Amino acid sequence: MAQHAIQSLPQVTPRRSENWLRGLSLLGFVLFWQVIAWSLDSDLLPSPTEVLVGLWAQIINGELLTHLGITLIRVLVSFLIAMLIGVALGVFMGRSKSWDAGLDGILVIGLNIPALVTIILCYIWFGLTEVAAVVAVAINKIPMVIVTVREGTRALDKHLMEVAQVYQLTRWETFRKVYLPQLYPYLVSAARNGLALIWKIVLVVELLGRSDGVGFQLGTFFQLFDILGILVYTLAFVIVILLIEAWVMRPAEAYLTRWRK
Amino acid sequence: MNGLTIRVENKTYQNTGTCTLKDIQLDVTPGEFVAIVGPSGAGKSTLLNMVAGLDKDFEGEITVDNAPLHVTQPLKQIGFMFQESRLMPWLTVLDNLLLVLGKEQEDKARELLRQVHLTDIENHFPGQLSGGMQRRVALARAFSVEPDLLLMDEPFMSLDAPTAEYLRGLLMDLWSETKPMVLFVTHYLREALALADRIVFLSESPAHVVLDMPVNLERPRSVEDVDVNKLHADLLHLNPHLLSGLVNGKQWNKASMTEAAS
Repeated sequence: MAQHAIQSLPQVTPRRSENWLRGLSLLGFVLFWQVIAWSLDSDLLPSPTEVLVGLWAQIINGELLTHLGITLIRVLVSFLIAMLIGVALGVFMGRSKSWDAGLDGILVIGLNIPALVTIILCYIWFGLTEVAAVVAVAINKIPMVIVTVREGTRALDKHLMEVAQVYQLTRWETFRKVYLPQLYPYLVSAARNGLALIWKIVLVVELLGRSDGVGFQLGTFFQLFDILGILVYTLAFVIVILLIEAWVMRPAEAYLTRWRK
Repeated sequence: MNGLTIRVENKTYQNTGTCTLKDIQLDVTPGEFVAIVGPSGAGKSTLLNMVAGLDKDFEGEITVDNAPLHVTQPLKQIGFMFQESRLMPWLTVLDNLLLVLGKEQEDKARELLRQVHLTDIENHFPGQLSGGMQRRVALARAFSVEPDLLLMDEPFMSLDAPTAEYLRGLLMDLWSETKPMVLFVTHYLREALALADRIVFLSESPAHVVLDMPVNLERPRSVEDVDVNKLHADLLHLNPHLLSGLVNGKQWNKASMTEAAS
């Protein structure tokens, strides 16, 4: 049963031909943008080349990297907090019916509260602080992690746990080599979706109540109607996300699920 | 050591209320290979799970020299080979053995893989192996812990005949080295005759022992041996419904069976 559940998770690694198609459509999009920008010739739509030049300038003067770094640290911290708490609660709720019954109502509320509401409430209650910012992001993410991990825990193979019991494995070994590997596909899925959500929420949090980070900068550019600045920061941010996806998430997933090939 | 004593007065599943096992008395002496044969659904697997300590919800006791098996743990190790190989799919063959053996026992793990002729695939994952090879790994795992008691739950089911025969050969080779007590559950009478020192026949559920019969045939034996064939035929002739868990009246006793077996 566990086997089935694991295989039914969507396969995320793209094939080679699909990669080509992806690159082609991106190229088309950039060309389209360039043509529109040329024909409009307006400050409201800088061309891709202007954005690239702007990006280089911002990198040189160091400001972009500072803000980007601060944002990434916020992403990382809230991601780790959300994963830790989400996995723990997900495992408890997946294993114990009373935990599940006790927390399910709150979970449903958590899944449906708009991110903006949690952010505003956190800032009002805890002040415009770093802690409030990180907590707000984590709270938005935790319910999704719980749901994914709970599903994984429910699909655990009882038969393999019996093997651990008969052969008298220690609790630690059972957890690490029998229990956890069954959860890997779910953890990977939770982590991927988690990052995608957290990026976005962190920017809003920064916009509303921080005086540094990419979100704060975007807010400033908005007030100054600095479209070029907005696009430069967006581009930088997107590049970083793609790199993390390609260099951290995908290799991690490939390693953790290598036995399935 | 006087061996294993199983006394089960009653095993009833709580959720369904069905009684699976009733008044089972079964003793296994050290070094003895006992096969348990019975119709499917008779509770043979349940019995093994109880001996393994996986199912503790029953009336009765399972002891070794009067010491309760799962309280004072009189046995150092129990090995269990299940119907499915039950290897960890995310661990290599070698790591599957090291999981139960301990990391420092690599030499021993390799030695066992050599004995089941799997040396060259120690770094494969179970998913890359055929069903028969997976069972060989499971067999090596069961023996790697040097069990005092080995439980086997139809371990060669769903394998083709030659593969099953090959695995039975490996099992006998490994068993004859250390001679742990074995409880081997099967519904395949020839297999029981080919392997065991003694066969215990169970009735339909609620299961009790209908016949306890020694097998005094020379080893090595195979399921197709003349002696095995003869004993198989005699048994079923005297007792056509034996495999459904029925014994004809009272003429069956240990003495008459010993005759049939010799």
